[in-house]
Amino acid sequence: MPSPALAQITAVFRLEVRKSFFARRSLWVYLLALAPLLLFFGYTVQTRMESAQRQQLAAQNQKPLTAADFAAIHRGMSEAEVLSRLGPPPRRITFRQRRRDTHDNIVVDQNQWYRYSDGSTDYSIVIANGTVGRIRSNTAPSVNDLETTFAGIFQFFFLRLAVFFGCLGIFMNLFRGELLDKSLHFYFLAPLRRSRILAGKFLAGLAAAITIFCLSVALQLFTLARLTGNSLPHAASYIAITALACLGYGAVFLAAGLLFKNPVAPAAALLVWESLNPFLPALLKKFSVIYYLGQLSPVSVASGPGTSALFALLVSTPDPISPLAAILGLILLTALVLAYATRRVRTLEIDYSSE
Amino acid sequence: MAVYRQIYRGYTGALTPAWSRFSILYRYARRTLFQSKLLFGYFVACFIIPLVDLIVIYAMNNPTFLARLNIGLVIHINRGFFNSFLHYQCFMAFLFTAFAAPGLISPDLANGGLPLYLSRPFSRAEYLAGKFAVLFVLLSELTWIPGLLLFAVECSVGGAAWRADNLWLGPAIVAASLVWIVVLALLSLALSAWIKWRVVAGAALLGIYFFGAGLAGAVNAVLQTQNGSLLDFMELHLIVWRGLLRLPPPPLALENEAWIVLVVIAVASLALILRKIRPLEVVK
Repeated sequence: MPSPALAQITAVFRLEVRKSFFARRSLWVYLLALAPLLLFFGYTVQTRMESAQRQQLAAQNQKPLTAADFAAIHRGMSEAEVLSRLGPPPRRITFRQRRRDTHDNIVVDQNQWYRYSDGSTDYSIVIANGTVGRIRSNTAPSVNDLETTFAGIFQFFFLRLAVFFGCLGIFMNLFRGELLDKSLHFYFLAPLRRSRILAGKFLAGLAAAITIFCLSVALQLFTLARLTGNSLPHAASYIAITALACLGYGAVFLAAGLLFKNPVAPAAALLVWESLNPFLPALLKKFSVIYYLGQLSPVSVASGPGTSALFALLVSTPDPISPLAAILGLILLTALVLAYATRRVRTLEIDYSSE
Repeated sequence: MAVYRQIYRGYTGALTPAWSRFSILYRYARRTLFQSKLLFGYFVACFIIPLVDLIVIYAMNNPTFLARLNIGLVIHINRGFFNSFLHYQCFMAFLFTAFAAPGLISPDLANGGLPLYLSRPFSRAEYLAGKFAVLFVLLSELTWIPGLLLFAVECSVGGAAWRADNLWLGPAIVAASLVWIVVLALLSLALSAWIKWRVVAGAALLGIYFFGAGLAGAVNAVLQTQNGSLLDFMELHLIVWRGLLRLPPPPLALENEAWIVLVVIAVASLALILRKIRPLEVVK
């Protein structure tokens, strides 16, 4: 026979978990979880197509080419020299590039794009005004490349944006959604402690967030594993970090939903604060959820994709802390926030007219 | 003889001219917005960047002032300077819109207020123009008006040579700002019309901006492309502004694509607003 407290929390949990998964207001959370999955699926398709293209290009070369042949090509070489060394390109594309001249006029340059391949690497050589302007090589990604790419996207896109906005949608809906629907008084009139309502709601939100986002990470890793043929290392760590992110952000947004009439303002402030985290001094970094999650990350990525060189200079790397300390730090932060939210919910007065 | 007699008189006062009726909505909506001290405070805080830029323009045109303070820093007041000004100022204006815009249409729809407007000699277009005008005027006050002021100050202190070389910059600042204002105002009004709760509409607008930027970065990094930038609301404008402010064009010719995406966003938003703003509601 379960204790009355546990039975009441379970009853609230059962009611809320259905709402968290299927509420119309939360359906967009699935899109957030789906976005990185679609991205990696696209990446898999692109990588397979590029691999097939490399083989095709290599087969069309006039003579067998090796990496040494391409290493001899450098910027400033004439078009004739390139053709004599490598032969005519299997694929030649003419494209126009616009630039602004000294008199502010748009000038359109007619450029050539030569594509070669040695079977394992794709070489793009841009011929501008009869000379080599740019050389780019593109090799099939190794497991290490994939791991770094995944770590970057996981830390700078998935955790900071997808999980962040997903938890915002799920956890703010728990109390603020009931206030908007004018239905919170039904809970408050029932003979159960408000702290148990909060516990049941939080657990339901957490169950939904963990299921949706951990499943998304698992599927992303599975998609990449299909590409390489081997599973990516640290899969369990990524899933555990996602669960901890749901716990941390969930507690913060649940409390924000109780404290603020418009929780979007604190959410925007938190988003800016979390985004600034890489640039903050070591001490200030500790006052954020992303700091502890970053410490747990198996692959360290200092700055996000697309960060300019100037901003990359401002990134500071804090002293590493042990995974146990990071987990305890995050759990402590969650416990403090939930304790405050429990105190707040006990004295919460409903005023539907002000919503 | 009537049991209960009700006497009323029709309104005999002056009627607002038909062409300016939309401004009534603007007037009241603006007053309501600024009843929030937080929002008003933020609106005022948005003028910090123009103020700082004004000081920079003054300082950079006064070598003696810089020499006296022993400052060796030189900031060139050119198209790049005004591009940066627009970038940061439009970001501030976006945050302001995220809090101001959701309350413009959604309360009318949620509380069944739309029939009260449209039962008067007031068309759908006028209703929309009134709501649009609120954002248009407020965002203008935050973007191109301070931009033009800075431009005017630079014209007056920068000398005849600077004026002759950069006179085109004034209209370019206005055009770049107007593109931003029109697209943002239509998008935020569409969200306000379709999302019943203003809190959720505000979160959705923030999500479009920040999540879109993150997704664009992720697409560009993973797929080794630059086309992902078309998912980034701010980057779309930055690409378009490069053309308007005569900055070097982006490496890939994304300018046309960016214009197309912006026009699609604006037209789709307008269609969504018109679909929702109707003087009837089907209750299922």
